[in-house]
Amino acid sequence: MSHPTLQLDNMVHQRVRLGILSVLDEADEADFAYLRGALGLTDGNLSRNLQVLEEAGYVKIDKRFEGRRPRTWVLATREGRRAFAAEVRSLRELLARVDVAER
Amino acid sequence: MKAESPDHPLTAAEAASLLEQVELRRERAHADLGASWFPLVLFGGLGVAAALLSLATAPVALAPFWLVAGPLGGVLTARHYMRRERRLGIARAGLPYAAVAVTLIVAASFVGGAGSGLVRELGPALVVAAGYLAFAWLERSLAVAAVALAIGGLAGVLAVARPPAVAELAMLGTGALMLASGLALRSRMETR
Repeated sequence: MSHPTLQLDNMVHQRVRLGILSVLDEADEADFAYLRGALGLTDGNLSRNLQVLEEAGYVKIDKRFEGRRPRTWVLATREGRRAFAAEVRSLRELLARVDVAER
Repeated sequence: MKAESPDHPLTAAEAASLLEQVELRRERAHADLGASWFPLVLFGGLGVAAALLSLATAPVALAPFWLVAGPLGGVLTARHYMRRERRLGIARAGLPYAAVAVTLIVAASFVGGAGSGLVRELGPALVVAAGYLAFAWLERSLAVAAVALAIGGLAGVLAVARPPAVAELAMLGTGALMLASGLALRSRMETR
């Protein structure tokens, strides 16, 4: 079995992107303003990280009009959920390994 | 202690901090999504009202009552969730909830209307308990699961005790449990 850190996905591992996927793992979709508030980010920072996740195929960005107002919703794809679950599993394995080593 | 991979230097403290952040984000999203107090209060209130009416006057035909009140309550609940999701900017897929709600209303009405004996009297409460277990699973909510188990427990107690007007008492108890837990969830949300 490989070391858990070798299973970490750099695309997901980054703190902001992990935060985005944490929210989207619990909800089915969240809008841009919610993510910005929940993660305490600026528009630019959130946009950049969403773009990275979208290019990796981990999120889908859906722009809709509600009345005359445009609103951007973000959804995690199946690959995104899978990558997030693998990341959390790897982090837990890593901690468990450290616990065993320290005992 | 440093993890052993040369490609991904990551300390245990960093890993623990990342996992803690993940849990915090998920908990906040979970709390923001939680609106189960509304259907609990609405359907609990309807249940209490129908049971009291039935006990105080002539027995009300409860199955037809729920065939009207159920879908109406479902529409109001869907509207409540949609407005809340639009306001907050976070949403869950509604289809699984709608599927459970329709199955619950149809099954409870069928069991209550077409069944006989204990099945007719306590079947609807057990269907509601099963339905709320499904809702609890969809919402990942221990509180809703506890409500479902309490309703199932109540049906079990009534099946053993067999008091008079057992169907009405089952509905009264189920409604009261739902109403009380819905109000408790609502006040917990407000104090957060």
